[in-house]
Parts: sequence; structure tokens; C-alpha cells
Amino acid sequence: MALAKTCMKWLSLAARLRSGRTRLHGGLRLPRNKPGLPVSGAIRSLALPPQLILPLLDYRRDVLTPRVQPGQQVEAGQRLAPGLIATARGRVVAIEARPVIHPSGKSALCIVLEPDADQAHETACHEPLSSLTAERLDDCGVQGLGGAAFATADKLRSARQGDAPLQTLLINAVECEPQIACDEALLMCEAAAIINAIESLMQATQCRRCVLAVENDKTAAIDAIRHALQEHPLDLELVLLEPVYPAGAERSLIRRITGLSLPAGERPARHGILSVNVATALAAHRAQLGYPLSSRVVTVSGEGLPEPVNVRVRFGTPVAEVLRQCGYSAASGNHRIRANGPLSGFDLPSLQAPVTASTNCLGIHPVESLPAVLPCIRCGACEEVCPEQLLPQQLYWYAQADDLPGSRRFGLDSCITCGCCDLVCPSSIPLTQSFRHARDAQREQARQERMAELSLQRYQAREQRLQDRAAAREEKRRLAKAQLNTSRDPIADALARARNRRKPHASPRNAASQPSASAPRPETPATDAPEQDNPPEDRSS
Amino acid sequence: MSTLAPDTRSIAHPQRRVRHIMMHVMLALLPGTLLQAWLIHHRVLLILPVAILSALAFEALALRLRGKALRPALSDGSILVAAWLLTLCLPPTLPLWQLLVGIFVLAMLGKHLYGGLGHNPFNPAMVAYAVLIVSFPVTMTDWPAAPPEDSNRQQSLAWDGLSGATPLDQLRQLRLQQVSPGLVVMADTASGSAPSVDRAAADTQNSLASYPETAQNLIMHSSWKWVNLAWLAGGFYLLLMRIISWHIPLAVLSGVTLMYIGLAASSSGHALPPIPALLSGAILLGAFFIATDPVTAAASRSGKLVYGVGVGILTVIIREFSSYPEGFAFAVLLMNTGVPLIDYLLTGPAGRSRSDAS
Repeated sequence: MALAKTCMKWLSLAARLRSGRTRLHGGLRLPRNKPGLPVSGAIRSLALPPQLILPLLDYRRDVLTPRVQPGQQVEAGQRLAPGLIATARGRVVAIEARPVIHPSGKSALCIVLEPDADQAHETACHEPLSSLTAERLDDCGVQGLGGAAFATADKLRSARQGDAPLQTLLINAVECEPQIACDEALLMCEAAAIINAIESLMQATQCRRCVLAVENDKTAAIDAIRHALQEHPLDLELVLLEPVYPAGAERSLIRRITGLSLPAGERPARHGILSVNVATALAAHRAQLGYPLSSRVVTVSGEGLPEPVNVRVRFGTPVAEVLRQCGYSAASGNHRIRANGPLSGFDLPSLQAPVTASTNCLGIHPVESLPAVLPCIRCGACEEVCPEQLLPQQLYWYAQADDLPGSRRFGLDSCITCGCCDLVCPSSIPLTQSFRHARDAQREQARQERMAELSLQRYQAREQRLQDRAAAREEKRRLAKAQLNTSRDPIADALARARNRRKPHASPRNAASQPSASAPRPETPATDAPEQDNPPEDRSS
Repeated sequence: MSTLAPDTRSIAHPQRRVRHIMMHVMLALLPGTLLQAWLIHHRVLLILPVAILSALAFEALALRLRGKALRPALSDGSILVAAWLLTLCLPPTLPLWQLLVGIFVLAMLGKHLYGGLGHNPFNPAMVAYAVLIVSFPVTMTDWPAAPPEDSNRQQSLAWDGLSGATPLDQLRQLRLQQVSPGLVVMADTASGSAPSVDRAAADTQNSLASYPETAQNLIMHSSWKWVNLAWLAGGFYLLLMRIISWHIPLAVLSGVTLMYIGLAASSSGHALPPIPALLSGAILLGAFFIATDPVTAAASRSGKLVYGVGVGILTVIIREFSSYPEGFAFAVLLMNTGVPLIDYLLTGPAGRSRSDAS
């Protein structure tokens, strides 16, 4: 036993030594296939659709409460709900359930906006600020454009309140997933604006070190950035990384840039690191200049398109409208539309779902049959490519068995669902899918536990309240009794009370002959009244 | 199909299927098999096709009985590899009906009884080997005598007719003889096996101290050396093609080496020097082809190391202290029983960091 313990100690020591290294573990060199990069000039903006659909959901998928009514006229940039702004001037025509971008094809409450004409360009709706503030980010609805759509204002606030002073500002331009090129297009076309944006973020955060991370095969984008840096010198580290998928995942990127291994689920801000997607940085800068975040660059690629493009799409534009404006016709064949990239994305059940801040890519792929799933032979290919050094095949068994503690033991929380294991599995087992299911199940269980905890608290509070009230009542009665007991002669008291009562009216004749009836009198109303009071109390709690 | 799965179709990433893995393994086995047929006994080329065909038949039967689709399981090649590995562990002169018994055990009891590919806790080939060596000890240890390396082809043809023992078996007999000469005679008459001790060995068996040299001579001058070197080459091919990782072979080989060094230091001089030890018996075949069977081996890297070292140590213990000439099969089976525990304790970095945090 002692020997086994020593062995474990050595092994964990070895693991700690290994985790300190900055190379990305595992990962895959995938064919890059970055479609639709602009040859020259600016990124084309799509025309406004007849209707904009703005889901009342935040990044946690919690439902937002609308602050507008159907029929109301709203301005561009006006707040429609906490965390949701109008992406164009127009009239709210409905607040109703519409399909949203979600693998299940579920519907959610959306604000449907009919935009006015003549709004080809986004307009500023705030005064420019000399320095960026979290409030301005809130006002402009700035969200992370890298995929998670986390509220950038919250990120900035938590970076300022972090335990450690902000050491590193990490601008993430590592767009490692194949078939997504929206950030690369942005780097190529708006390099100068990006340098300005980074400068304003550096001023706002007072960071000590600022890193812009890009893969080294994006030569045109790197040239553009270098050129912009020559014209506008900035204390910015340009870090070029090997083009390995998933090098852009936040945790592994932080590990490679700073050498710091964050535990799963921990925010980088707690360690003095602020990590921002490059498009988000640009959006934050535009917010400082007064522009609300109302559009993003989307890569539209795949078969059935005349050519792949990167276009600027106003949030709320239905996917079908985006595809139509990019030249796709549904008649050209049997296709499936995939949102957010081949590996981290999903096939869209409904094309009426609107583009949101997290929609970075729309791919049009032919419908093909999947290879047959064979049994796992534990070959370990998945383990070799896992960037988080998990054992996907072991995790798979526990996830399949709905064993949440077991799944967590094998690192379900650390899994970034990058899909590398699926790509190398010789048995074509849908590993990542089962991990996503397991994680959803875990979130659902956590949510239910939270709800159960809340109702327990409510129940206990009510019990406490009832007890307090009963105790107060008891106390009152005890006091009343004590008062009764202290008076020397209850009969004389009762007589006096009866006399007092008789004064204004005609007195009952034999009031004095019934002294015993007066003794229990304080008790009766005291016990009856609260019982009648209870139900309304319950409703309010 | 659920839409939550990553889209592996739209990415042109070469995906290696199970049958490709099995094909690489068979390719790596080919040179050693041919050498074994050429140098040891040509009957290898007879029993190998019989074993493979009967394995396919039993697999088909098992799938039929279980009501499963025949095509995916038969085409994945796993049963071919298992049958091939079993054949390589059997004496080429084994009667065919005993071979069929072995294949039946392999396919039915070793594999499909537990649920087929990926679900068997024990290496099916080694289960079959264990059943055969317990059931038919005489024919299972009756190997054709390998001609000495320096003999020419004519001599080796003459050798073909003789039966004898592998160098390892000869060594075991030699050891027993040195401890108590009478016992070996009894053992020989009891088992009815052919003259056990090679003449070259008999010349040098006089003193205890010369045992390692005898062993070295026996092993290093036997044709088995070339067969074993062919397994080593095949193993390197598998490593290069990334079919297997280095953890298990290295752990097995170091376990064996450490045990022999320990034996040499501690005991009566019965220990083999490391190089002949690694070239003896089924060590190289086992380390690269049998212990690396992913289904029945440990999963994490540290687990693989523990598993491999365990196989190496147990092999030497069984080989040196039991009545079986070779212990690899039992060592693998014993360590297979420990795999669930190893997998539970050594979960890789994720599990360790979690347990550190909590």
C-alpha cells in the first residue's frame, strides 16, 4: 500500500511537471480550407431583411424580460431588454416564439422588428468616450464574438475586480477551426482599426502585457497587422502559433501564452488575464466611439454557393435570408446547413433561426450517410489527440452510462468538446456528442439541484415565518394572561370593563352576573385571526 | 442522426478505420511468420490458413447465434489477428483438431461470450492458449527442434523430422536436471516427451556456474533468434505507424530485464543474461503484439506502464518457478484481470488533477 502511494506520488509529480509545459498537447493538423477571404477592400454588408428576429436569451440561455411592447417604434441601439439592444431603427411587430439557432431546433421568445428603410449603414447612437468603460459596453450590447457570446462588460468588470492585477491582455485571433475565416477576414480588412481597438483596450485595462495571438499560416493577415503596427507603433506582442486545431481554445491558449494552467471552469480574470476575441476587441472600440454592436462577420461557405464569402450580417437576420443574399438556392440540391463550423457547430433544423453574436459560420454541406459505428477497441487514438489530456474512451463509457460522478472523474468538466477524438476514432464513435449530452445532463441536474435548494430555502423561510408568528402570538397571549393574573380581582375588572362598555349604550342587565365569560375572551380572537390571515401570506412568499 | 456530433465528413482528415489497424498488425506479423515457417517448421503455413478460416467460421456462427450483423464484425479483421497470434504461439505440429478446439475457445469463449469485439476482458488468443496448454500438455510442448544456426540446409532438412523443445524448454529441463537429475528422468518418462536435453547443452551442463553460458549458447545460436528479431522489427513497424504506443512494450521488456537482473543478483546463478532473456520464448512477440491488444490492456499512459511491467514480472516468475516452459500467456491473463482496477486508479492527468483539487 505504501509502495502504491509512493508510485501515485511520483506519477502526480510527473503530471505536474508535464502540465507546466507550454506546447499544445494533442490536437490535429487539419486541412485549413479557409474560404471566402477578401482579395481586397472591405467586407461586404448584407442588406437588411424585411424582419429582424432578436431572441430574448442571454449567453447563459436565461430568458430576458422585454421592455418594449408590440407596435412600439424603437431606435437603433435602444435597449429592448437587459442585455439586448435593437440592431436597427424600426417598429416592434410582435413578441412571440420563433426558432433560434440551437441544435434541438427549439423556439424561444423573440422580439420581431420591422426595420425602417434607409439604414444601410450602422450609425452611432452615443457620444464618443475618451476611455472605454464597462457601462458603455453594456449600453452598446457588446458580447463576445468568439462563440460563447459572454457579456464583455462583465468580463471587463471581473478583470478589474480580479484577485490579481491585470497582467495579460490576450487578443485571440487564433481561428483554428477549418472552414471559418471571419476573424481572418477582419484582420486583413480592418487591421488599422484593430490596432486602435487594442490600444484603447490596453488603456482601459492598464494591462502590463498585451499579446495578439495568430496562427503563423495566416500570412496576409499577419502582413496587414505588421503594416498597421508600423504606422501606429504599439507595445503589442505578436505571437505566431502553429496552425493546430484547437489552438484557439481559451484555456490551452492561455497555457501556451502565459504558462498558466487554469482549472476547468475557472475564469481567467481571477489570474489577472483578460482574453478577448479580436472581433470583440473591435466591437468594444466601436462602442467607445458610440456605435452599438449590431452586426458581425459571418463566413458563408460550401456547396451550392457560387463562391464562399465573408459578409457582415446584422443580428436578427434569418439564416435563410443570409444564404439567399449570398447566392444560395435551396433548389440546387439536398443540403444541410451547419452553423458555427464543422467541429464545434451543429446542423440547423430551421433556416428561419436568426444570426446572433455567436454565429461565426454557416456551412452548406451535402447530405451524406455516416460511417457505421463499430465497438470501441480502446486503441487510444482519442487520447493522443485530446488537447486536455483526457481519456475520451473511458469518459465515453461513463457518459454512456449516465454516470455523472464517473464522468467528472474522467474530466467531463475539462472537456472542451473540440471533436478531435471523433475525427481520429477508428470505430467512428460519436464521442463528442455523448460528452455534450452528458454535459447538458449535468447542467440540467445542477439547475434542478439549484431549484430544489431554492424551494427548500423558501419552504424553510415560510416555516420560520409561521413559527415566528405563532411565537409572537403565544407571547402576546402570555402577556395578556399575565396582565389578567396580575390584576387583583378579575371580577372587579370585568365589572369595570362592563361598566365602561355600558356607558355609551344601554347596558345588558346581567353583565355583572357573568364574570367567567370575560376571562377567555382575549384568547378567542388571537387564535382565530391568524388562521384566516395565512393564505394571503403564502401567496406573497 | 443527432446534430450534436462534430461533422467528420466535411473535413478531409484521413480517418483510420479498425480494419486498417488490423491490416497493419497483420502486415507486421508477416515477416516473422514467414521466418518461422522457413526456419522452424513449414507446417506453420498449413495451420495458419486453417486457423484463420475456422476463426472466420466460428465468428460467423457466434454472430449468427447472437443475432448480429455479420458484415461489419467479419470485415474488421480483429478475429484474423487473434487467430494469427494464437497460431504463432502453437507448435506447428499440433494436430488440426486441437487447433480447431483452440480457435473455438478463442472465438466463442474468449470473445463472443463477453459480447464480442471491445467487450472481452481477457485476450482471446491467450485464453485459447491457456486452455490448450492445460488440455493438451504433450502436443502443446512438442515443438519441432530448430536446427542450429550454422547448419546448412541439408542438415536442417534432416532436423525437420525430429521433434524436440524450444530453447526455453531445454533450459527448463537443464535447470531441473541440475537441481535433481532423477526428477527430470521421471518427468521425461512421465510426459513421454522426446529426448529433452540438446547435445550441445549436455556437454556444458556439468557445473552450475556454466548455466548462463549454456543458456546464452542455446538461445543465441538457435534459429528462434531470427524469428524473435523479426517480431522486434514488426513491433517497430507498429510503433512507427502509431498503431501501438511505446508504453506497453517498453514496460514489458524492462519488467523482464529487471526480473532477470534481480534473479542473477539474488539466486543460484540460474538467471539468463538480459539480451538472451529478451530474445527467448515469446517475450518479443508478446511485448509488441499480444500485451498491446488495446481492448484488454490498461487505457491511460501510466496504467499502460503498470500493466506492462506487471506482465513482464509475472512472465519471468511463471517461467522460472513453475512447470510451464513459457509464462507469457498466463502473465497477460493475470494482468488482464487487474486492468479494471488499474484503469480506476490511474485515470490520467484529468483524474489526477481532480483528485488533487478535491
